[in-house]
Amino acid sequence: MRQVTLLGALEGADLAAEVAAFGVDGPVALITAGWEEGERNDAEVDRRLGGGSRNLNLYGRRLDVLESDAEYADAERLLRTQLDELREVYLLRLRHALAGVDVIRRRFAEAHRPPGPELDGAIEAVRALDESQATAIGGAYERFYAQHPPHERAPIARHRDEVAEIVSGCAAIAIAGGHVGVLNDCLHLCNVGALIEDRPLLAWSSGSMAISERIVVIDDADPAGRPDEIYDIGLGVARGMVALPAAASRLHAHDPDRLAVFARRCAPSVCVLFDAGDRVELHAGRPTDLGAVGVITRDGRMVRGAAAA
Amino acid sequence: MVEWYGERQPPDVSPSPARSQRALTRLLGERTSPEAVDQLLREHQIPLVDGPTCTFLWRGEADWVGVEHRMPDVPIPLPLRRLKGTDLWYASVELPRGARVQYRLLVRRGEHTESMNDPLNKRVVGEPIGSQSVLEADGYVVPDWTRPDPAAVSGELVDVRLPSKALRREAHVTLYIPSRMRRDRRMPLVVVHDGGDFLHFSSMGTVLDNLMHRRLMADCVVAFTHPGDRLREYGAGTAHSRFLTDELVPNLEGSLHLRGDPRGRVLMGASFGGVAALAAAVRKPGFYGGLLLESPSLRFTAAATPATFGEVFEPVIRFVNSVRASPRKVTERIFLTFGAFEPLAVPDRAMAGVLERMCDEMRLVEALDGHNWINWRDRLLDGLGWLFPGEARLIYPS
Repeated sequence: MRQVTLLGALEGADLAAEVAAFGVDGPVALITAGWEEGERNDAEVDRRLGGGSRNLNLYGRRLDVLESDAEYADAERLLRTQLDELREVYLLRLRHALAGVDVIRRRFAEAHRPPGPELDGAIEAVRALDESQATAIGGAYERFYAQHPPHERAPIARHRDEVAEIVSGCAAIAIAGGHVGVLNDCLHLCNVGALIEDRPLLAWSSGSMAISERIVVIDDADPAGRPDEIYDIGLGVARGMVALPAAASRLHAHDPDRLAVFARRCAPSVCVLFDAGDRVELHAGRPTDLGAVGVITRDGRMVRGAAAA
Repeated sequence: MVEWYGERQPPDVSPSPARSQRALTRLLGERTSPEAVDQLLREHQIPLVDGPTCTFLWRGEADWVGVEHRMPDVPIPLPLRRLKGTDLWYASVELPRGARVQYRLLVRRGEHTESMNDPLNKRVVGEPIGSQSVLEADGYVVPDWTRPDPAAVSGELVDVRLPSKALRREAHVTLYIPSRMRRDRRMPLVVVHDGGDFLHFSSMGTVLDNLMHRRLMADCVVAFTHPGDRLREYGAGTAHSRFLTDELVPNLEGSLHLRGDPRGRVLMGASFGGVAALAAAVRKPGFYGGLLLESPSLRFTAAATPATFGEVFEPVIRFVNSVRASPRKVTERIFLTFGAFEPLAVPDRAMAGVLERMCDEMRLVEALDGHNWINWRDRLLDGLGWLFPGEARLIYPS
């Protein structure tokens, strides 16, 4: 059974001890693609992993693909435009749907009545939007990969082979944080999901998001005021959970009503709050012991030590 | 759908002699000797800020002293009272948290009244029409993204000259090219009115460097335009609209790697520049995807008396009256901001509903500040971050 450990942040983590706990022998394949141009500035992480890690250089490989395969680059730009447009419409509809939830909740509160099926219906409408967005994103990727099979593109095939070769010589894989969108794109481009099938995996920060089924972004400090959103489809290694790193800095107002709606949007997955020092192990891809992390309950509380849903 | 941030109602600002007396009494320890006044002025930042109570001070011999300001519901000018037995003059107001006020002192001796910056206050800002003293109420913080950040790579400022048939002059434009400009990425374009003033008085080059470096806004090319006969060109003039839509934007889209679609075109302006931006969008519906309007001079009249606000406002009032008569969608998004402490707050607040009908989405920020370049600077994150959302929310700790 694959061993997977998720950490809240690099800060304060004993990476070498985490790798040692896997009980394997050999170098660690390191993914720092989320650091973008800073991808190779990995000396500190390498040292903390115990040294000898092999950086897969996924960001650099992606840049090389886009520079050397103009046709693929154009097609990918078109895909990005389509995804941007999907996202824009989704966020527009989401704002209105969430405003509807707020109005109904307020009306019940003002009338001193418990919210009834009207509120359930409003939240279901939001869930339907989320589902529809996830399906639309998945559909866009499917069409793209059908039209432009990556393994048939020489530069991509070459990079995939090189990455597979490196990973085959490694005992475990570590995925760092950074830009979750860039990280996710790089993981998909180099088909890392297939390579990590049975290897122990250590991920932290947005690395935990990228290996989840869905990448859900929250940020109360967003100047554009965008609501909590389904941003992308992840590798699907971690199931039944929504990873929310940097929760302390991203969730400003602990508004139970808003959090309850969010938890219900994500259900049946559990919303796991990751901050420095937080740690979760997955068994069969699912978190079974949530005792050491925070979760958002369906009544909008942020609690620690809750049993897995 | 309008998202309204800040104060929905005019802020509660009022003269408060009782509280100022308390503040002064506390600070002077009931002694009114010259030494006590010296100590007060030496040990405190002036104006005094004690919670919501802000006290203006002036020291010297005069027949009358007042504060020239734009705070609502406070006498203009606000007269100062002389503290008995001293040459210290004072007046207090209560300001909401986070407010910021620009002012000058008026000192009358005999027949002569002198307008001056507050000699006890080192905080002075430059404005095109002269400098002013600044009162920062409790809770006001200069946004850190307005200050130069050594980590941020500066964009390039390039001056270009463009012969304009519409304006019948050579137009001067300063282009801001972001540091991450790449040939494989088409960027949006923002056209800024009063470009020189935004660069000089609102530090907009620094602001753009920081917002883009921190990914609080998407990378954009920004065209800072410099007006000729400003009030005529910006006062809803058709020639200026033609210059923007038929000359400047096509020229830039033809020579730079820009998006070239409505979503990639935003017009921005403050005061009369806001009128110019709106007028150009109204004359070419759908061409611009967004407007960033800061304290736009959207004066209008209920009756057909356009001369009410003076000759320069006549074309503006005619334009705004026509827009109010039949508002129609001209753009996708409008960001509107104005200061609660400016006369234009009333018409701008009244125009919110009209502007809402002229776009798909509108965001309104009513700031606790006035008609000035620092207010417009401080709102740039709200406006640009909304119109061109950045990727900061996708970036997590390493």
